[in-house]
Amino acid sequence: MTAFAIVFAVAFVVVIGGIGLVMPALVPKTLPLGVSVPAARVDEPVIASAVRWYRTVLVVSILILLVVCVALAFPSPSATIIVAPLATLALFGLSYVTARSRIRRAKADGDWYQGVSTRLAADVTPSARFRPPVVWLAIAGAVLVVVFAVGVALYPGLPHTFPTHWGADGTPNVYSTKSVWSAFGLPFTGTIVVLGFYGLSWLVGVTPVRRTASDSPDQARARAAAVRHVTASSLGQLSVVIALGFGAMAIATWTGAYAWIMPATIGMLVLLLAVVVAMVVRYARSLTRPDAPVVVPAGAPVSAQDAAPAGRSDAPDDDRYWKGGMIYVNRNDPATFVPKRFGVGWTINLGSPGGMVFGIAMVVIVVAAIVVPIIVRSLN
Amino acid sequence: MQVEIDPASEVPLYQQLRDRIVEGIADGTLATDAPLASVRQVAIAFGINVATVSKGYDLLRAEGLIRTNRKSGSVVARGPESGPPAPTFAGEWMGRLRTLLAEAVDQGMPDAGIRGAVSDTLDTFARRREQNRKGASS
Repeated sequence: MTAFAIVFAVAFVVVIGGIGLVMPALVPKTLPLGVSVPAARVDEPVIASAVRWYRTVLVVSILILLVVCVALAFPSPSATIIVAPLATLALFGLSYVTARSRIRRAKADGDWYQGVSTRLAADVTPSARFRPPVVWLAIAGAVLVVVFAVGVALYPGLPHTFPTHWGADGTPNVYSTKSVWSAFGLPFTGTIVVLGFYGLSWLVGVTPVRRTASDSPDQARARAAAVRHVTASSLGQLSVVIALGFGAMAIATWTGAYAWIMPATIGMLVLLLAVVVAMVVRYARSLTRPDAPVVVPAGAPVSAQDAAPAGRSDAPDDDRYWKGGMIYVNRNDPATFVPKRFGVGWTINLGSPGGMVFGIAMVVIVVAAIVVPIIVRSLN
Repeated sequence: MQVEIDPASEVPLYQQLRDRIVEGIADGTLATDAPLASVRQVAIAFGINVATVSKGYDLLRAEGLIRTNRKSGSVVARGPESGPPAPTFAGEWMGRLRTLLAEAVDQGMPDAGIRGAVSDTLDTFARRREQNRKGASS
């Protein structure tokens, strides 16, 4: 238990801390540490120094936290497992908030937006509906169909009881009696996850394009299209990995090749991590590339606004809607989902009815996940 | 059609939105029967209040420039080729034009400069309209 607690805590602290360290490189230059700054100010020295401060505080606190976690794991491994994630997130928040407040102060003192012309930009004609790539869904579906077919063929020959859960060392620790549910649990779960990911990749299309400062409207559109494509295709790749991994585990269970369970699980986790890392890199690249490729369809209408001179206006300062630089609350904005301020992906608008419902649902799920097991345990 | 609006301007956002769409119709970016995004879609795209966009669309509807029905949403209802304006239009528009020209005169713009600006603007609309017509037919 102690060894597991140490591995878990170290892995969590290192991975989340590492994401925190690379994050400043993944966001647009006009949103350093989630503070909106005009394009003309991105090279202010205070910004670089605030990012350095953020990284330093984060590294020092990660190192201290690692020592504390290892020390705590010996007397109380279960406390370590709870403390490590909470402390990591708290320290991450601390370095973020203290570092960004420096930029905010300099911005307020120097009145950075004074005299900067700001514009909101958007399409008033319906844009082509976003369609997530279907190829990954097809591959994942084909894999699952093969797995189900193998399962149906092997089902009559399955033993009366067989293992359905394995310990961390790869030995079975839960056995189930043979039934359709126990035999096909893995591919069923895989199917639900694949369909869920496909649903999520549709959701990517309803998220609005939000222009970052100094992008031309065409660039903003191209960037948004690139970001949507990266997200949707990565979700598709994840679903293929899930189908392959769950399928391999199911077939290993049915054929009694229990030695393959562990390699299949680890292989799946490594591939999932690889897809996620690749997604983050591609996502950040399409978001931060100075000139997103602008593809103007042939015969696209020319308007005075599209042909405006290169002297671009900035996106307006919207810091006041970002509480702590993390939570978006804007009652005037009807969007349920908006691009994240400091990070990859989208977040909810707590000022919109949809975002509110979503936020409450999330809190209820988290609280239920913590409280229900405690109640169940005390009843037993 | 991409539209830019200035949140810091004295001109209300709904008025700016209406003005940009009026200009889009004049330069042929928005041809007659061209669909507009729904009020909600536009509000989400800008991140502004739904009521603001709705007010802009109401103005356009009252002017007969767009029409909205349940099935096909809002479409451009008229344009440069839809025939002469309604009889009531000219008087009201002349009033505003008078004020606009007076502003330039008051600020010391020479008459020739004002006439030049007017015909340049009209020429630009006509040229873009021609380009957009060619673009649409090719």
